[in-house]
Amino acid sequence: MDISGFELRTPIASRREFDEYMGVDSGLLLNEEIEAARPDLHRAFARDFDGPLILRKVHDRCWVTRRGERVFPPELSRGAVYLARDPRDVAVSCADFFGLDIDETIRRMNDQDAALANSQSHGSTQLPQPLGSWSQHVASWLDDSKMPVHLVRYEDLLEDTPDELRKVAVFLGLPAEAVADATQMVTFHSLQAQEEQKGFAEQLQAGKRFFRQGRAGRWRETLSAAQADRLWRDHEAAMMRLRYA
Amino acid sequence: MASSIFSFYGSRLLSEIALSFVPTCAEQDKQPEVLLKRGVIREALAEPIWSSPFVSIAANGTTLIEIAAVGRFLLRGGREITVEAAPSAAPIEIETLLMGPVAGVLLHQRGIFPLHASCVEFGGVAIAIAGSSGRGKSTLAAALLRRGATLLSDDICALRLPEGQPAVALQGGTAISLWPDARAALCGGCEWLPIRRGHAKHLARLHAAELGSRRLAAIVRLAADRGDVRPGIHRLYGPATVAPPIAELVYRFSLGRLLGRGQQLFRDVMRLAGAVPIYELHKPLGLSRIEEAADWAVNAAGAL
Repeated sequence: MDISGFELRTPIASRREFDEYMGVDSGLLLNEEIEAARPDLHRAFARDFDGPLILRKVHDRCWVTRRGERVFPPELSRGAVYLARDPRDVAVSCADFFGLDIDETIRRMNDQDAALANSQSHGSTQLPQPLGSWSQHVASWLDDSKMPVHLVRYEDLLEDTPDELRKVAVFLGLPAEAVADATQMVTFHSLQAQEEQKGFAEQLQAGKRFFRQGRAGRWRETLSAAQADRLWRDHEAAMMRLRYA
Repeated sequence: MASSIFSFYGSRLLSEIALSFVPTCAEQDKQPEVLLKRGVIREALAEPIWSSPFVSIAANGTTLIEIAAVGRFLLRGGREITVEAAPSAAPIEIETLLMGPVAGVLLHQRGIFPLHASCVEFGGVAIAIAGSSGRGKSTLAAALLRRGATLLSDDICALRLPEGQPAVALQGGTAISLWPDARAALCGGCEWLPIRRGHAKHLARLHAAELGSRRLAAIVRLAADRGDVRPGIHRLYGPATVAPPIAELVYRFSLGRLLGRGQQLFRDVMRLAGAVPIYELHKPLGLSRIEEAADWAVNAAGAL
């Protein structure tokens, strides 16, 4: 499995894909025009696809356009697999990925207007993707997606990969054989080895690694007590709910 | 204003509208091939075979492009474009759409191959910078302009592919549009105007000359990002030249297919791969290593 080839099969909020499906360049549109067309884009994927199931990797929170339309139409969705991770580890990992300091990362994780690829200073291969705060993101999918949601905790996925993948397969109605193959392909070590050898298309920072450690609880070695407290104060309810107390 | 004939992606365009970013045609007395006129477009296309919130296509190939805040463009038979501007639309907003999605459909209707690329002239030949949306085609083109290249076309590069002869790149507009970071780094001295009200991308006219066409010496394809692993350039051979999804090489392949051009576009891509060296350039996104990338592109075209 080519880890970077994944992007070709399930592009993430891709401008190329938007431009082809919508017939105009997203780069000539205003953000509100792109936003208004996102539900149409997802309906177009469903209309043009003749296979059994499309898997999409999504960063967005589950959101609604200004006109009140759901960006991820529930009537076209079999369901969402929601991958959550302890926000204290998210802070450590995100700071590294975006090249930010930890305090700034923690601030952004509590920003209701946080978004990806919405820069007004430079171009992007991705469309703007609203995230909201970490807590809002969790709640948007778990409580308000109007579709079946299967929660996977990153920590559980590390602990027992085959079992977690099996549950995902059952949720999506995929054959059980798929799990055994997938388990072999996605050991952290094999992903890291491939990045080492060939690079990874989703890495942002030159000279850094996307697949860094693949461990849970690393925040204990990295965050100050004040930083961990701040995350707890910002996200207590969602952390309790996902058993990150 | 009286109508003038402009040189628009290889076609003589007679326009009722003053165009600031398209070169005027030296041959004003020759027969125009395309007419651009103002008019009222009464309604949506009846029974479109395909539609998105912005584009609809009728069975006979007539195409309506609409962005509510800017206006509507009706294209018929590759010969006539009717424009109905929104009341608040500025001329630059109309022209931005004209040079982009409208030109793309016109080229498909006229059977001219639109490479999804920005194109510059350097040392008498053309170098096309291809790549998918947001990958940095215009930015790399701007880096080449700083070394003395001249802009032939931004984002869409119209090509003539005569059998058994070199491929030829046709001039499009005379302006380039860039995001603020690339503008500041690469084109400090130009006069920049926002492509649309409230849009961060700005457009600048770089020259007014009618350049016509140039032999296409190389296509440099910006690869999908692979971080900073092995940045550099290499020539593609054999099947690799046409390996990327065809939609990445052809501007709006999906619309071309709906306009009945699918098979011909495949044939054109094969012919292009046989006629012009195609290079793949790996660099990180954005301005990082942009000067080296410009060196590689120039060397690839053998234009030093």
